[in-house]
Amino acid sequence: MPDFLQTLLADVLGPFFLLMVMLLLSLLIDFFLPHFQKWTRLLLLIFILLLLLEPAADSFRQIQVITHSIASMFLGMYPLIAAMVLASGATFGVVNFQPAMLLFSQGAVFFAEKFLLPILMTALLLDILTRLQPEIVLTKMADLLRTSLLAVVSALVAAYSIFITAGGALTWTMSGTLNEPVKELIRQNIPFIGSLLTDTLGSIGRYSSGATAYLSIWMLFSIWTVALLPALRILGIAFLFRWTAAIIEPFSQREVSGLVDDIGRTLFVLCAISFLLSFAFIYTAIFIVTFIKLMTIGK
Amino acid sequence: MTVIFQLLVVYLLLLLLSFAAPALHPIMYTALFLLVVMYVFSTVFIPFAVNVLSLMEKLPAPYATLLLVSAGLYYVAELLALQMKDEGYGAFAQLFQTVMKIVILTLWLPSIQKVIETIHALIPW
Repeated sequence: MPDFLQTLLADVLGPFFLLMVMLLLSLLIDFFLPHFQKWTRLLLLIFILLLLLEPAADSFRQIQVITHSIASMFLGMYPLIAAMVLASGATFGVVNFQPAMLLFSQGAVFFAEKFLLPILMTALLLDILTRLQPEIVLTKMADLLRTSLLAVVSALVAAYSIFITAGGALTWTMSGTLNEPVKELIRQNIPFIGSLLTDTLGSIGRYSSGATAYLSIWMLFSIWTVALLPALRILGIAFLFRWTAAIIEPFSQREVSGLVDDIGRTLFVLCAISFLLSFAFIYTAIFIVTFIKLMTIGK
Repeated sequence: MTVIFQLLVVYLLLLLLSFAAPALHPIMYTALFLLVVMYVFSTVFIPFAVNVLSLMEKLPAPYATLLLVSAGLYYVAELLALQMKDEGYGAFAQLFQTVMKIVILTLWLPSIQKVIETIHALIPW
C-alpha cells in the first residue's frame, strides 16, 4: 500500500521537482553563457510543455471522456425515465421532481462537451502561443475566454439553485449557519472559482439533503465521492501548478513561471466545469435511486 | 589551477612571438590557439560537464544532456568565430556560427516534434 501511494505521489509531484532541477541547470548555464539565454528559455519551454502539459492534458482527456459518457448515457436513458414518470403517475407527484430539471442538468453536460471544453482548450493554446512567442501577445484573449467561461458556468449554477428552491419538496434541511464559516474559508482561499465552488456545493447539498428522506446517508456519500473525485483531483493538480509557479518565480525567466501559472489558471476553470458535470451526475443518480425506491414502496 | 598558469605562459609566448617574427604570428597564433583549446577542453570543460551531468542524472534522459551539449557547442562556435574574426575573416565566422546554430536545432528537433504532437492532441477539432 505505501508503495502504491508513493508511486501515485511520484507521478503527480515528480515532474514539478524535475522542473526545479532543470531550472537550476539552466541557471548555471546562463551564468556561464549569457548569450545562450534565449536558447535555454526555448529548451525550458519545450521541457515544460512535454513534462507538465501531460498531467494537464490528462485531466482534459479525463473530463472529455466523462462528459461524453454522461451525455450518451442521458441520451439512452431519457425516454426510459420519461416513460417511467408517465407510468408511475400519482406516486411520482409525492416527490415533486421536475423532469425539466433533469433535461436542464443533462443539457448542461452536452453544452460543456460541445462548447465549454473546446473554448477552454483554445484559451490554453493561446497562452502557450504567447509564451513561445512573447512578441505576439494573446493573453487578453485567453483571459477573456476564461472569464466568459466562468461567467457561463456560474450562470448555470445560479439557474440550478433557482430550480431547486422552486422544487418545493426539496427543501434545505441542513442548518445553514453551521457551514457558513467553511464556505467563507473556501471562497477566500481557492482563487477564481472559490465562490462558484461554494455555490455549487450548496446547491448539491440542498438537493441531496432533501433526498436523505429516501436514501441512506452512506449511499449519498458514495454518490458524492464518485462524482466529486475527478473534480478534486483536478483542483489538486491546479494548485500544484500555481505553487510551482510561485516557487520558481524569483529565479526563473518570466515566460517559464508565467506558462506554469497560466496552465494552473486554465485548470481551475476546468475544475469549475467538472463541478458542473458532477452536479449533473449527482442529480441524475439521486433521481434514479429515489425513483426506484418510491416505485418499489408503491408496489 | 595549473591550467591558468599554462594559459598565461602561452599568452606571454605569443606576445614575444609577435615582436620576434610578426610575419609568422597569424599562423602560429591559430595553431597554438587550437592546441590550447583542445587541451583546456580535455582537462577542464569535459570533466566539469560530466560532473554536472552526474549531479543531474535524475532528470529524464535527453534534456540535461541536450542542454549542456548544445551550450557547449554554442560556446565552441562563439570561441572559434572570435578567433576567425581576429584574423580578419568576419564573414567566415558568421557562416560558422549560423551552421552551428542549425546543428544545435537539429539536435532539438525530436523534442520539438514531440511538443507539436502534444499540442496537436489538445486541439479538439
